Amino acid sequence: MAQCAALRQRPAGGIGARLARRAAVAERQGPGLDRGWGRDVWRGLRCAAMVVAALCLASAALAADVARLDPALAAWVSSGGSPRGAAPEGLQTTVSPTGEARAKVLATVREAPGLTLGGVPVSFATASVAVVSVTAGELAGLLADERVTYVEASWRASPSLDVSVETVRADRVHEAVPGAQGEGVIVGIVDSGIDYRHLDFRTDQDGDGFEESTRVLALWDQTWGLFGASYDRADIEAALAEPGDGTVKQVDRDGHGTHVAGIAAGDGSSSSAGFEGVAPSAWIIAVKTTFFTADILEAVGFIFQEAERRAMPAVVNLSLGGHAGPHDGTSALERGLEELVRKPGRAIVVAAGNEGNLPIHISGTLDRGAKTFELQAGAREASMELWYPGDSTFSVSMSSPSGALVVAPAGGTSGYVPTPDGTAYIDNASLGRNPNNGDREVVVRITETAAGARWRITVRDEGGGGRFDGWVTTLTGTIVGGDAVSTIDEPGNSRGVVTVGSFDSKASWPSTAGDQDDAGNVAPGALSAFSSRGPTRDGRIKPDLTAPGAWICSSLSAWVQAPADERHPDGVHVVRRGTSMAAPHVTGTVALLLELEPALSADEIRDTLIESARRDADVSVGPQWGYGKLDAWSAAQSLGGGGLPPPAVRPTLRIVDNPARGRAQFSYVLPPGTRSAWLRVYDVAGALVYEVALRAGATDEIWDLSTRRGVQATAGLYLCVVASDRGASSIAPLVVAP
Amino acid sequence: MRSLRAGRAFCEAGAVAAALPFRGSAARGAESRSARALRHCAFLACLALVGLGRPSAAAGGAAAMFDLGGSARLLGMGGASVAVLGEASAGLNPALLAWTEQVHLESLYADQFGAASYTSFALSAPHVAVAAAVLDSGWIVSGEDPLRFASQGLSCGAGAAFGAFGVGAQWRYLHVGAPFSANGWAADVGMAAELGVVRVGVMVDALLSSGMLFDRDRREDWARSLSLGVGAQVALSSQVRLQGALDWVEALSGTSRLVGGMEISLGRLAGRWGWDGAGWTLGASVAARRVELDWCSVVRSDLGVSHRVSLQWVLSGGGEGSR
Repeated sequence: MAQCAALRQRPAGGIGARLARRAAVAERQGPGLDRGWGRDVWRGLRCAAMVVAALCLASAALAADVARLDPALAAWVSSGGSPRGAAPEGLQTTVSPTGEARAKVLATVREAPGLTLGGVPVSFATASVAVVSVTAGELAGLLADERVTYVEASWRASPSLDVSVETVRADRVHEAVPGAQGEGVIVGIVDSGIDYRHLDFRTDQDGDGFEESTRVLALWDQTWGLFGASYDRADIEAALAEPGDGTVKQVDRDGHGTHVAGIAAGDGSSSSAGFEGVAPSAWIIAVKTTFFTADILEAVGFIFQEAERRAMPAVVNLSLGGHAGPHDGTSALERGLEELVRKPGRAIVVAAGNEGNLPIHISGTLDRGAKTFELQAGAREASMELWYPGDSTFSVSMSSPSGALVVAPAGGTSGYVPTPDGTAYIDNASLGRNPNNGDREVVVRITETAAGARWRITVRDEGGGGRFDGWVTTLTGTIVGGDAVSTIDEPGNSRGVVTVGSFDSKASWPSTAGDQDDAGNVAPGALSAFSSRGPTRDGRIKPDLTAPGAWICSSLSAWVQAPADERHPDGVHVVRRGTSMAAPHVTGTVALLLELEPALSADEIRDTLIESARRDADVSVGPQWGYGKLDAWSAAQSLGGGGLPPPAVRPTLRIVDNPARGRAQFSYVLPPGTRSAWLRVYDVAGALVYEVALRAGATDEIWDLSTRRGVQATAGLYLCVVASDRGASSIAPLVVAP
Repeated sequence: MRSLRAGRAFCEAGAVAAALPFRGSAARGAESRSARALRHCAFLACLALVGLGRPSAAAGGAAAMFDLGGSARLLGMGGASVAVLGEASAGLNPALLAWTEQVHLESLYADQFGAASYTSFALSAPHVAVAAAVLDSGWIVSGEDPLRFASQGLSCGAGAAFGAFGVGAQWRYLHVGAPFSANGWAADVGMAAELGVVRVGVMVDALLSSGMLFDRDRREDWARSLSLGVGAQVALSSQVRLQGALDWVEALSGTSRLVGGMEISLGRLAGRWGWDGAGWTLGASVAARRVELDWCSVVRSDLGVSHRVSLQWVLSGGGEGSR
């Protein structure tokens, strides 16, 4: 208690001084310190690092009350910069072979960083967010770089856990002439990986009935080794040709990513039962992620870079999230995502989260008063974050189940306080206001407590008043007296993404354990109970819209032993539910839109989805439903004022292999009622080189490169069209190779 | 000197504006010479045909870049260029350079039906011309990996007049840079003769050629072809002139076709229409002092409309509005 009393004094001086003081407190307290050989050396090094940090930060001469360091990272530094110990749960840390601990962080910067930031190599960067990996000592150097405005921890997100394609009317878009199936568009999946061997992602290129090829263009396994492993399409096809796994070691042991990918872009070819995804012809780039925010940002950047290299539009699905963050779109991950979709032909879709029926949120408006609530631990550890206005002064105190008191005054920290019921830690904006939104962040952490233990937390207005919001950030734990308002997962609060909630679409399904019925919990058409709801902390409506999320049958990873009552009798599909399943319905729909209009911007895509959303009797526009239920057909029709013409009026033509060697293969679709059609090939000057009448009912044509003169077409550029009594197709440029 | 006057009598008529009046007297004075020129031309055409043997039969391909023709003015008349004094664009009849009096620069941009862009710059002077052109498809997305087709061409030509008869030769070089690499050259010869208000021309494309040489020593022949053309001009008044041209392109081959068109000049304005063997062409131009802006459109039932714009500057020689 004496220690607590001492800590009630508001620390004076700059951030560096506070950091140094915190390191000293950590030294006194002991928990989390390295033990064994070299303890003194490590202690000395850490103290030295803290002194350097203090000097650097003092020289930075920033506004005294503006934080530059995430409290979670400050806690990590306080714990001695260890990879485990007392470091906050979910912080992304690694240990080098020499035993050096590194934390991966996201630095918000004033200007685009170069190759290094504060002397530390930058592994990825958007316009204002850079990803770097630092030791505790290097963190001081990073903060000393005047370009850096804030350093945020990379925290661990979690995967957000048929008929749905018809429900959103994507099948109409597939069957329209011309329609869309996602052809020429990349669907990016950042998730637990993908079972690339699943037939739903493979194609039969040579027509022998065996799907030897893959639609997975690239695969990055971030979990492999220190730097991950990446594979291209050739690697994957080589692996498919071999009985073993070949060089492609990536597997999806969770099955979440495979299921999500199947909804967005599976073609259902693995089973006669169907289960075609929303964009069954789209290309896929999958990233098996560590689920840390820095790696998620890098994964999305990787997908867009790959898409840009191929000059293809791309939409990335993020069926993941968590509650660490300000919930107002200003976290580093959310800003980074917003910056990544500023180019046309890019979009990101995020699952809203599955906390719509969990009391993990608390809020209150204080005016010289206090609000008390209880944080109930769901496991041995529980954490939460609270945010309040930057101009206000709130104190935060916490009492353990046995009555031990832990206090953090405004701008102070409690340090790690052992109590009979566990170790408690409160950081009450000790480093100042968050520069990204001007608010103050409180981090509450309880470790080594008993599951079910209730810790009483009091937030008291000491001046200024205003509203505070708090969220449980651990996977388990709830707030007694809390609610499920504003439970949209981060990064779903970002302004740059499409955030998707869930509605029920199916209550029964066949399984290997017999027909299943979940009618007691699921009402088709109704909002899913688990679907996280908005609004964002700054008052915006999120989710943007809802899509089918319960129950959804999609691709089953061969590495997963699914429960018999969830496994489809075909053995290769499984039912799951969650906003994770809703988001890829939207992702697939965005792929269809991008096929129709490849240069759509992220804003245009979100506006199109929102404006075309179905608002039936179930729907009330607001923070639960967003703007309605996904309607892919209406969205496609609304494009360009006319969108998909109701019956197609023009033929479509696609060149299968370009450039052509030896022969050219065309794929075409004729409008209904076409009486006559020709494939015509012109040279670039417009002279007719080849012409053939197309067969009714066929969709493929081969040209052996023999011209009207009876000689071989020479290497060069040719213009191909399908002309019919219903009009001509767009020109398809063909390159004939020597 | 006589050839110069005869040249003015014919070729400048195709130009823009009012500057050089049609000189009927000069044409009449050259009548006997024209008869001789016609005989010479017929004789040389026969020689060319003998040398040609029969047109070779390669189709389309990279070399089609040179079939894109010259300025918007010529394409506006269906692309007939064998007997019309045009500009120094690549692939035209070099014999016409025999009557070139001015130094002029031409820049051209064409959108080939939205599928490729064609850009060229040409510089011509009396008796010589050089032109460079670039064809670029932009990125073509039709599969996993996008690709683009890009080629560059260069042509150098020279022509000389012997009385009312002109001969010329032209060397063309073609480089394909993407998505594969190839190089090739060809030499063309052309002849033209003035017969009063009428000019006739003959041109043999790729009389000599290296063919296109690709990586791994692969080779493709460059198509050899014969084109015959005739053009005429009538001055309806001091401000109004009418010109027509007709070419038999790839004559004597299975894909021969007639192209041609008309041009009417009203002072500094001109309008054109023509048939390029597969579709109608339409064009117009406006001239001011030493600058002329030409536009034309080519209409294809399947491919849609292709637009072409060219801008020409007279750097020296001639007078206002003359070319």
